[in-house]
Amino acid sequence: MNKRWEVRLIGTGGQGIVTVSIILANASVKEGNNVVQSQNYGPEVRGGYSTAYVIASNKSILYPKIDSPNVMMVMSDTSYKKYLPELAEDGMLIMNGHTEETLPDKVYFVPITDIAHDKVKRPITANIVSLGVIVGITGMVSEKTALEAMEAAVPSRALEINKKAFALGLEAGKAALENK
Amino acid sequence: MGEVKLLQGNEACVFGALAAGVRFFAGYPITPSTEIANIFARELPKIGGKFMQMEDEIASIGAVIGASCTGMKAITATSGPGFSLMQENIGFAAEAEIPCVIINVMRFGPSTGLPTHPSQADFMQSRWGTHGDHPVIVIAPYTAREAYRETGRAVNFSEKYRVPVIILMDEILGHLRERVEFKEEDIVKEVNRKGPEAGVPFFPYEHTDDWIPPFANFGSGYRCHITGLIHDRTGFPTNNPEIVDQVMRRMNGKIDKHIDEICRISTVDVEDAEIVIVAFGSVARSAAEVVRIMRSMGKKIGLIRPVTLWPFPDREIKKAAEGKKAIIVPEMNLGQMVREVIRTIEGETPVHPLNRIDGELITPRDIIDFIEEME
Amino acid sequence: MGAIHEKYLRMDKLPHIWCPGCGNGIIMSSFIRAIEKLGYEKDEVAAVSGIGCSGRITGYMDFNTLHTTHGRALVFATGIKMANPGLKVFVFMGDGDAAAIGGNHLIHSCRRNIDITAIIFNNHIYGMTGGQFSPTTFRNKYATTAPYGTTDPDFDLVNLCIGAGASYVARSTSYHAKMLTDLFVAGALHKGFAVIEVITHCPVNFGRRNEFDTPADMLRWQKDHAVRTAKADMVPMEEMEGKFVIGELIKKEKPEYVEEYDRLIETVRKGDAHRE
Repeated sequence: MNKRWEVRLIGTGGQGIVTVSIILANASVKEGNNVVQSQNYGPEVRGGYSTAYVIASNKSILYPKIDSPNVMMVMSDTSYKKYLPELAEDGMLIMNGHTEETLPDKVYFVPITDIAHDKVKRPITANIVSLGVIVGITGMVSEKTALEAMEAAVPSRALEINKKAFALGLEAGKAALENK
Repeated sequence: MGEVKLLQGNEACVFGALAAGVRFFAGYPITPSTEIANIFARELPKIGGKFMQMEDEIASIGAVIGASCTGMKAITATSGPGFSLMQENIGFAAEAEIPCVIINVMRFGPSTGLPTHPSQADFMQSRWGTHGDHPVIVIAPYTAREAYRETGRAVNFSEKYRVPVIILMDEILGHLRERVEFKEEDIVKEVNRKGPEAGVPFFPYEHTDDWIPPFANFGSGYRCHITGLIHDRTGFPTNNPEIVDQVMRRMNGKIDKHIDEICRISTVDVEDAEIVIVAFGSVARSAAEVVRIMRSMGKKIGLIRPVTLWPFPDREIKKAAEGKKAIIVPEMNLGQMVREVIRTIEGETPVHPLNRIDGELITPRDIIDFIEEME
Repeated sequence: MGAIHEKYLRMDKLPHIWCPGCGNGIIMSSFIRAIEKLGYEKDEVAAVSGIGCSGRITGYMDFNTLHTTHGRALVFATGIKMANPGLKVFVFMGDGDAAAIGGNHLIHSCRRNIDITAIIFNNHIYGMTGGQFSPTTFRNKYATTAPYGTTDPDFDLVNLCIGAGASYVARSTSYHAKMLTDLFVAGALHKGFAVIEVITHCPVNFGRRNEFDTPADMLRWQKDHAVRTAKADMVPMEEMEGKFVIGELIKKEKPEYVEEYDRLIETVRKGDAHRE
């Protein structure tokens, strides 16, 4: 990896974005990178704002926060406007669904929750769909390591459904990239 | 060793403690230290250890001290409000010289403050939180890898020196996960407290050559008396001024006597530096980033990072700061460690505090701006 | 002093600090007699105390002894028992320790049911600090912090402990010394948390301010106001007014804390534990 990835995930509590960030972090560690992952959240266990981030680099990571992410994924629009200005100049923005707001050039609209709802038929897997989308669009980790890290993170009884979610997310991510 | 994994700061403490032989944890849930309790609850029964969730933090530290009296290595973890509640019993452990370790993952205060935001404002509380002159060791790791190793070192110090040892982290380090590659120097070797010697008359608070009395575990056949009252070498209360003076000087002085082993600092590019940053914990990560950035711009900046916070590494810092143009002390508080730095340097070099108290980490930008403005 | 005292007390630490006429010495004697009856080795007994007059008891008895902070004896003892279940753990508390500053630990110890025997010296007063009223001081009694009589209601420790789920609760008095020994033995043999409340007398800081001229008057009061469990049911309600019941008040089987945790360890190590 010759690039320093700074990825911010934004959503609401209970959507599972912290899990996604840990899976991404583990996948990147598997690929030999230095990685820092963390999260911020409000006092609500469910429904409050929730953000998680991953820094991955082949250099050592000292300062453990991100100031200008080059990837930002927004699962729900509760608080992303607060974070939008920090997106790096050529940063990628991945939006769940669609919005009429003025957004940066590199914006990718992917109906993540719809995919989980209509295609996976398990709304709870939206976070794993989003993992596939991020990997499909950014390529920050390989499909293989992302899948392995995902498999290690989900309960075995939910493995098959999550594999399906990941594959559908990956496909949607790649399609969004091509259509840009 | 050579093992690579993604490890959370709080998680690293647990595994460091287990490697050092900890088999007892008692605690009470509190953000941002709760993961430590969660992981101990999962791991301890696997190795025959005991986990207890107590009714409050006072009970937690009490149970830890009780377990330690039997010879079991014991630890607790908490954050600001809970740390305040523990103070009386930390004083008991210091006075009765019972080994124990307290992890305080600092959060923003006072009072409930900002529970999910970091702070370094317990720097002084960790040293002076309990009443009376007392010995204590405080260690501040700055990475998950160091959290593992230093928690191991804390357990060993508590056993070796019969003293409460505090691991002072902050919310950032507690909650972040990072890639850790364990190396040879990270191996935690178990150190056990010294016991009574066969054939030698035993006094549980003997003024030995190393100033560390041997400890007879409860149930080992010595039937000691342990009290928080000032006691003579037999362990029983005394108010004889001459003995009280001797006992207090030994108990407090035992740490200074072994200061070379206890104190540890880490430095980055200090030798030829004109400006030196003194920082600990997560703030030191920002400071190290500043050194990297400013060195690449040709600026002579260095970093001194106290790993042992208390006893404050006076000698090491004084030496490293000698002949510098300026010292900057960034802290997530209104200026606590800076007082120690000023005391240590004794007016030789100008010392500048840089404080942030908005619940956010001091950034490299904050420090660079400060340096540029100063110049 | 008899042979039993020489066997179990640290004779070089005597005389004790308690006032002439104090009930604490009677309780200590009853306790060492219980240890003799139980046949415990001194090395296997851990005695843990809090702060106040009662707290000093651990200094005088030749066991593994721990004199802790005010109100916290139970939690130190809990750590000892959990870490070394082979030890026979006894806790000594005053009414300040047990009912005021350490009340939270008392109710949670009852709930947990760890195999510890807790002995509460209830003299209805803070003796060591000079006679302030405690949570067990009866209403309209005089104390240095109640110069006009107390307006605070008092705790009934027995009912408090039963309500908190204790599996063994008993009460007696410093007058009924032989019964005390029997209850200490029964409490120690009970598998689980046993509480024994001892109604005792503080002639200097309670009696003197509350119309008891001598320690003997206070013992007489205990004798006249204590009703044995066997008789209590037959005494009409109105005659029980102002009196209290002594003897075993509850004794039931309940899972013991250390055993339950040891069972958990076994299950986890076999890989059989169900994990969330």
